[in-house]
Amino acid sequence: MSNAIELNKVTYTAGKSFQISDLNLHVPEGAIYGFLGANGSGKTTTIRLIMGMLRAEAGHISVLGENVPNDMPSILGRTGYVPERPHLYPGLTVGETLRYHASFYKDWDSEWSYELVEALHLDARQTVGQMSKGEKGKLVILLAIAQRPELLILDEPTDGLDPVVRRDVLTAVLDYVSHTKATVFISSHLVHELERFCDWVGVVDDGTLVVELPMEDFKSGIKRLKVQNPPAETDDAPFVVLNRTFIDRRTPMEMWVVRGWQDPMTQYFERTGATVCDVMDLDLEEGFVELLRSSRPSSNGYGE
Amino acid sequence: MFQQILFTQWKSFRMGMIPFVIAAFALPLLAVQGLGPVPEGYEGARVGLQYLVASWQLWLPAFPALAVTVGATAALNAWSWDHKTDHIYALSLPISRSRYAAWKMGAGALLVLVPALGLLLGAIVASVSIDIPASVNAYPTALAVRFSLASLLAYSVFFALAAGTIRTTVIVLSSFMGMIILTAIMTDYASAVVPGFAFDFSAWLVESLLEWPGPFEVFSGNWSLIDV
Repeated sequence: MSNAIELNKVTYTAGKSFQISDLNLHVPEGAIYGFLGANGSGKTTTIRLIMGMLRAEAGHISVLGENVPNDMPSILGRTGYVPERPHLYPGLTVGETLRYHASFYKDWDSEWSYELVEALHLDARQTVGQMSKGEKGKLVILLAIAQRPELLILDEPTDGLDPVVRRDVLTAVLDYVSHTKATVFISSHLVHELERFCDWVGVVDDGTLVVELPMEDFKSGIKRLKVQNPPAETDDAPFVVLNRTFIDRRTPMEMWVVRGWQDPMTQYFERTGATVCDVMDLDLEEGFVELLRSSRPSSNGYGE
Repeated sequence: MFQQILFTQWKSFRMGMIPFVIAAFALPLLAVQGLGPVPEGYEGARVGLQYLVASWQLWLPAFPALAVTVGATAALNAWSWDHKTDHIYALSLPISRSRYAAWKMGAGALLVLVPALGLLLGAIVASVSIDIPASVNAYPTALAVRFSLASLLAYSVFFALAAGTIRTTVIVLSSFMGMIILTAIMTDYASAVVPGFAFDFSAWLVESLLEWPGPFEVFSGNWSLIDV
């Protein structure tokens, strides 16, 4: 399977305090890829690099098989983009915005765009500057999908929207994707929202990719284990220990959060004289939090 | 695409343009308003011309000033919505940056011509509303063309400056001003301490910019409506 978006060792410095360093990212064609990260972790910067708005200092970016930034007009003609904040011209009406936007895209579906205006309960005569945040959110989604893109890049598209609008926006995106098999790259810090429909997930923290894997692997591979008589060292473990917390120092009993877990790995504990008392599933949000906690330099593996 | 860019700029600038169109139309009329018939004793063509020209001179600075104001406002307006959206929208459109800037500039340049059209009409009305001595002619078209060129020149300069971020614009302008001030100080100092060296940098700079073949000659040239 080829990749719709590929970043290889991309480096970019923003100011004195933030850097994206050696970022590798692979978004398979047709995937709905959730790009997770805390606020300020580099999600928007990464998206702007992908969109050619920022220039990487090192590394290589390709989107839909074309090079960024050299082939940008062609890439952007095949990509729908929803930025972090609505970016529309305030003095235009919805109808004028549609006409303006349409003039840049050869595959713009005018009829469908007006159907979407109706479906999303927008008023074509309303001025953008007078629209609510939710209405603007719906309009930018409409603009992104009515050009029938092969790739949708959504930067926190539902952030700050009420639940009804959020559902409208996500439904519009999912409807489109289900009909076209377009690739979706969606960033968010609202983890539970992505859990429902993403099939790939990448987690970024402080400009570095912490993990990138299919959602199923992410959800099934991150577990919380209750371990009795745990080994002191875990270097030879067949999984990655994200976090260890003492439950009872006398027993001794620890709670571990591990990544890459599979059931046969209990044998590892038997070899080390430990016992796994319980294996618990983590939802995406818990897994995400544990991943971030373990990736931060201050983390020593032991939580208290 | 160009049509839509033009429409967008028209929509954002149309209300701001109205005062300029009115001012451009009214300026030639105001300039000739006090002239009336050539007073007694000034009937001769030569004397009459002097009278007209002297009266016109009072209003002369207003024409290039208006042209600069029109050009600057149109240029700032051309980028205003893009600045408001941090250029994110423009950068997400499938068009190269240079092409986008060129079309945006072209659209704004067309809008700059609207006040010039107002000035042409005002100049035509002004020329037929006064008694012009024989052998003297009114040149409303030439005045309007000069106004258009001055507006477009101002528009181009401000369009380039406004295209960048405020930080970039401040750096460019302050570097430019800094160089001028430094050079002026150095030449003044050199004139004071070096025997036989006399060079007025400020005068040279103004002359180089505003007199032919300087790039801004259009502002200081002949702005007469009435001439031989």
